[in-house]
Amino acid sequence: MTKEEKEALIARLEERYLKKYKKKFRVGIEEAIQNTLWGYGLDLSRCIGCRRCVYACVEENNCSREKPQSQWIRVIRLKKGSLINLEDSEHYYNPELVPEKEFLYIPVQCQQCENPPCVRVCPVHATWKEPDGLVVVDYNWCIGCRYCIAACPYRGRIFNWGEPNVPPEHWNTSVHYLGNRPRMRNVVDKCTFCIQRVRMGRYPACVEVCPTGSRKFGNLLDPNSEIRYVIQNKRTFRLKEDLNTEPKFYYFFEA
Amino acid sequence: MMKLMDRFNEHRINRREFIKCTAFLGGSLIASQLQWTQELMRRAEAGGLTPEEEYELIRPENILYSVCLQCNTGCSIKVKLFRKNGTAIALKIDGNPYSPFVSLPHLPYKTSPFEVTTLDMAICPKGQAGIQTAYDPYRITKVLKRAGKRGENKWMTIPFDQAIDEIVNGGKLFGHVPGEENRVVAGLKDIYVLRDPKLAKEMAEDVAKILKAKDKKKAVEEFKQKHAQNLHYLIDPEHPDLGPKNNQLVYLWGRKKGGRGDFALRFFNDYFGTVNTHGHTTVCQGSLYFTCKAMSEQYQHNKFGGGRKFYWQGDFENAEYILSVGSNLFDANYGPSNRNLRLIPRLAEGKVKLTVVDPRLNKAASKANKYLPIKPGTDGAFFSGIIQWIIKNKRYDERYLSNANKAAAKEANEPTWTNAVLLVKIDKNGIPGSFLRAHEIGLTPIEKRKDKDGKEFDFEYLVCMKDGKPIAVDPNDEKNPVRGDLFVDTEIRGIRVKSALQIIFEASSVKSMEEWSRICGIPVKEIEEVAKELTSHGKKAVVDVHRGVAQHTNGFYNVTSAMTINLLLGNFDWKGGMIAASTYNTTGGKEGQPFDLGKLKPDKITRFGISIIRHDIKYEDTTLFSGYPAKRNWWPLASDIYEEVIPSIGDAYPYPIKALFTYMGTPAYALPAGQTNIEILSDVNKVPLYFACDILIGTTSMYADYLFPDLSYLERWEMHGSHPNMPVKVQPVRQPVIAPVPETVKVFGEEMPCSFEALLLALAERLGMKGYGKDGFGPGQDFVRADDFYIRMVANIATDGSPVPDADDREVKLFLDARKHLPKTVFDPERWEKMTGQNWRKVIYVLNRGGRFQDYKDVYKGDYVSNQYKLLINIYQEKTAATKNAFTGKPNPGYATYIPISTTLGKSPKEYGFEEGYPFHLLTQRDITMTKSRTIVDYWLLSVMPENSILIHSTDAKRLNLKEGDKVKIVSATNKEGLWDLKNGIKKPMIGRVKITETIMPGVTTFILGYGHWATGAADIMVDGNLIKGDPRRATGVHANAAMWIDPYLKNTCMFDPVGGSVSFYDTKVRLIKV
Repeated sequence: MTKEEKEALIARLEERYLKKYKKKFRVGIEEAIQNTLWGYGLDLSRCIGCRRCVYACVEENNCSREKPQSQWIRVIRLKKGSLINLEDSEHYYNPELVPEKEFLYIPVQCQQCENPPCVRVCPVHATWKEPDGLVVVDYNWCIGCRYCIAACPYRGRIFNWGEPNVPPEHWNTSVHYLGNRPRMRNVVDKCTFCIQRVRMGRYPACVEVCPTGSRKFGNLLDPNSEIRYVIQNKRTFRLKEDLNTEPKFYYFFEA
Repeated sequence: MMKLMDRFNEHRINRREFIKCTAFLGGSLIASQLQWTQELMRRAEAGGLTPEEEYELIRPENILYSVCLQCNTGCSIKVKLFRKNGTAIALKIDGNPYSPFVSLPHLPYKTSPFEVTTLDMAICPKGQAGIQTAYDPYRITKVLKRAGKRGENKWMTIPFDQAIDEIVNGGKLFGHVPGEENRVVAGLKDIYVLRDPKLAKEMAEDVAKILKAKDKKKAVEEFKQKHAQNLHYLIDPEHPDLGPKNNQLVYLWGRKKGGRGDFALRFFNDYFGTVNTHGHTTVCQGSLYFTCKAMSEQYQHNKFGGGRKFYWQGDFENAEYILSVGSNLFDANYGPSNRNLRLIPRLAEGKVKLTVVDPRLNKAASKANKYLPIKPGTDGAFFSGIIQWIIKNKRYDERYLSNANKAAAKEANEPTWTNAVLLVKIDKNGIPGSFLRAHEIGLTPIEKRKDKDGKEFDFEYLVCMKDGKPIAVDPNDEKNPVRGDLFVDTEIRGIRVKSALQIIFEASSVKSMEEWSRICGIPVKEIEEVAKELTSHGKKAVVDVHRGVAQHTNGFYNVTSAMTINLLLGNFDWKGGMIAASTYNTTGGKEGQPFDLGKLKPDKITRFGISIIRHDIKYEDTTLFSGYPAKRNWWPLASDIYEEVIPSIGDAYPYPIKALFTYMGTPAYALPAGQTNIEILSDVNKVPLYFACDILIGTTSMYADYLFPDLSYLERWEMHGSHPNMPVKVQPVRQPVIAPVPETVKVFGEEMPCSFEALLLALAERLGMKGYGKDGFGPGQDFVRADDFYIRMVANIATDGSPVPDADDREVKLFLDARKHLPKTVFDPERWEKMTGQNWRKVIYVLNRGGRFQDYKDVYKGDYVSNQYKLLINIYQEKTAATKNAFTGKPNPGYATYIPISTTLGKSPKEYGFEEGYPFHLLTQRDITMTKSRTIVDYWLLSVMPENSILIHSTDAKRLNLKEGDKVKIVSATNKEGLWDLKNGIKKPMIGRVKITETIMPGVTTFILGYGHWATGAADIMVDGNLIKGDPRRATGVHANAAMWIDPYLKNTCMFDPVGGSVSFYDTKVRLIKV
């Protein structure tokens, strides 16, 4: 698309959202910042499973609140000493009780793989990896076949069974085309490390909101970044490394 | 998915324990050789290969180009092979960048295959999961013979040659089955009785005379006298028009494509001489095909004929407005990869407007500019409203419609023209009949003309009105343009006439806009807006329809109405308008093509007689005519009427059959009320011999007496052809990419894998058919192997029009290297080179690219598509108007009109009490991950949706007090118990889980096709005394076809469209009972 076409598209979208949601949206199309590759760190010894990240994410990214409920972050509860099991672990534990002594909490969201299996199965090239490493979806191209959901080993993708159910006063009107703009029904979406924020120099919402500082974020190409510090100084691991997906999401325990 | 794959692998291990029998892939030597592949396949699909492994997959000699068959779209694929120890497995399937089915624009054809190895185009989930179809552990590898009763799931393995002997010679073949100890089965040699081509031709000509005769009795007597010596060849000497006993072999197929289709018809039609070769078209979108066939009939001398079985769809690459009615874009509709590529980017960029009309808010509707829910079965009313508005407001393309012949069209720069201005005679009851002939009003006498072979014929001029004066018209006249008045209603010399367009306008005006709106449930304002939008984009607006419109009892007229709107827009052959498929020729006969396969048929036989489904013939012309209603329907306008084949066999109407052969189709599963077919198939008196060819034991082939293993789509040849929405001229070639799975057999002294082709060749050998074996194609041209046929076809493709270039030395080497894992039974380059001679390098050129594809730069010419239809299109169908409904005796209308849903006797289902107490309208839908009966074997696809559900609207759920996930049973007036009776002691209930959604109209329910199997690896079976456990994952979900209405008059088949043949898929009313 040419620049003019893009601008026309954005204008059309903003007009449509204004009509539909009675809000003035700002739909960003900021491109990747040069020489960046976003990486994420998560300190599991600090995470208390409070799920504030989940709700901050929902709020920031205009996820449907209920009917259908759509959340990009899943905090799974794991008995201490047991192996990480992404499939069968509980993520509907009672939030009143956290932190529970005998349990660990592992927030899981899109791992922004360098070698993303979800991308290569898409029948319409509606999803791809951006130069800054973010895996994104063009909701206008997605035909809702959900094969990417089947391919993702981390359950990082969510299907929109209906249009987002967001209370009018809760719309976040600062959106990105490839991120948190209002989705239509029958499309797949996912965490984008808050593309609308990080490309404007801000932290992802989940990083900002975390009350324990478990969440770290930064540019993997910048030797002085926080994430590089984490990788160099902590014993980090990534989920399902054997699959060669090369996640850019590093978990670690404070020694 | 990983988890699912782990489970899959666990199951595979278990499976190996269970499937000890070597008749299955899961228990064979190949499977143990393939063990090393499972981990690889898992990682390949997950994108988890190591860089070294990835490197293997981009080496040109590890990539073979072929065609997918996970649905009928036939996307071109690149299959990546991984080699080890001299064997190779298909590890990953992606899209072939040479092909327009998966790329836009596609690569120039001349691009070297060495340059494109890293270019993977996208294909849909089914295509990617195809590896699991090919390596399905439940695939059979040896010939199976039934060891118990039909459908009892007890089998024994027997040698291929023995099976062929038994089928050919017949006898007491099932003495081991209780109840069949003394049953003598007629073999094919007793059915294949009329073998003398000269005699067959003579008898055929004499039968044709009977059909034309007024006094049938006299004609039959004459025939009997003349052929007194030959009457024993006939099924019934009193009815010679039934044809010879040869017709008592019925061949019924499901998904078959070109190549294999030609191979089979050579055997059954040209040599065996049976008229009973029937496809499955009417279960897909028959009425769409046969309406377009009726619209494409050409005026030949004095009548309409030569219609093509095909249809038109919209050019989404250029259309500015698309009215999509009953076509499941995004999920299906030929197909996700191909149409979405052309639609979605333009939709996203706002270059095309889309209106979706469907009772279901489908995935395309969520991105459409407008979604209009419509009451099922009332599309014709909606279209009538549009036609009325367009004509009333004069928004049609006047210039286009006024062109009465080719010359006028040419002058107006129109590739096509219509018969809108021609005058139709109106009978005393006001019913339109045939076109007025010029000689009838003394305008121009009948002309003696000569055709290109010098044969003389009578030419009759038709008539149009120009400024109130009648003018004679030859629709095919290229020199003298004639344009006519659009609306005429007058009398000429005492003959009442109306112009075709006048008739259509009147039919659309029998009801007011408000009444049409009330019938279809779409507000008048919306109908008008759609009509306005359609007529606001010049030639770049289309009405694009598919199954949702066609698969009703009124399908033929719904489609006629939709196509009539397109004719009012005059968009045919225009960029952004309606287009038709175009393919490179495979069968030869054109200049420069080496093998005229149509003529390489020494001593072929002429087949004749009425088919078991009574198609291509008028009831009134036959000796069976005995007033109305007929016992079953007659089909002068349609063919391949799937729902009629087995029920007609059941009724032995018009005659009993002796043997049935089925291939890659499952009428029991796929047809509405398919259980009616099971009842007949399991009756050995109605179907004395039933043999089938399948890759596994399927939901219909499980009832066979003999089951021959077949090659999967990754192992075989086929010329896949194209689809109407593809503007590019193509011929994708399916070719063997992996080694054959079935056992090796010997036919004509040649080793080959057991397959569809091996079976037919062996039967031909044993029956001593001409046209096979040494000099089978003629002197010096043997026909002893499948590739003798297919390589000749590829040579024809390569030389159609301007020939393709020769492959260079490097490409020749690549061709050989890439196939070094294929055994000689399927890959024999020396033989092929000898066969094709100077065209050998062209054959390689085509096969190295997976077929032949026109270059993208040549696809459009100015404002037109370059592959044009370029002929007359009938807005009024004279041929249709001359046919009668076989039940009521009333003439069928030849124009767009709305007909309510009705039974075969033309009555409302309400009259039979079909609707009371059954509040839900039952629909079906396809999801992108399922293709009816064959994709349940692909576990990767089940990870998205392990089980289908019964969708209902939230208000209905509330009313019925149903919650998400509740189990309900589907029952209807013709299946009150909600059961599939498999006639083997098992009754499978139609129970599924409720899914509550806002995306369906209240009062309508639907389910996704493809689940709820009772075979296809889902059932436990015994082979040679070993128990093979079925996999319960293949039996989950619900398949509710058995609830669909059985016609109350015919009683053993579903309801159908008596003109176009379509089955009624979307008309049944059901009740949901909580269990």
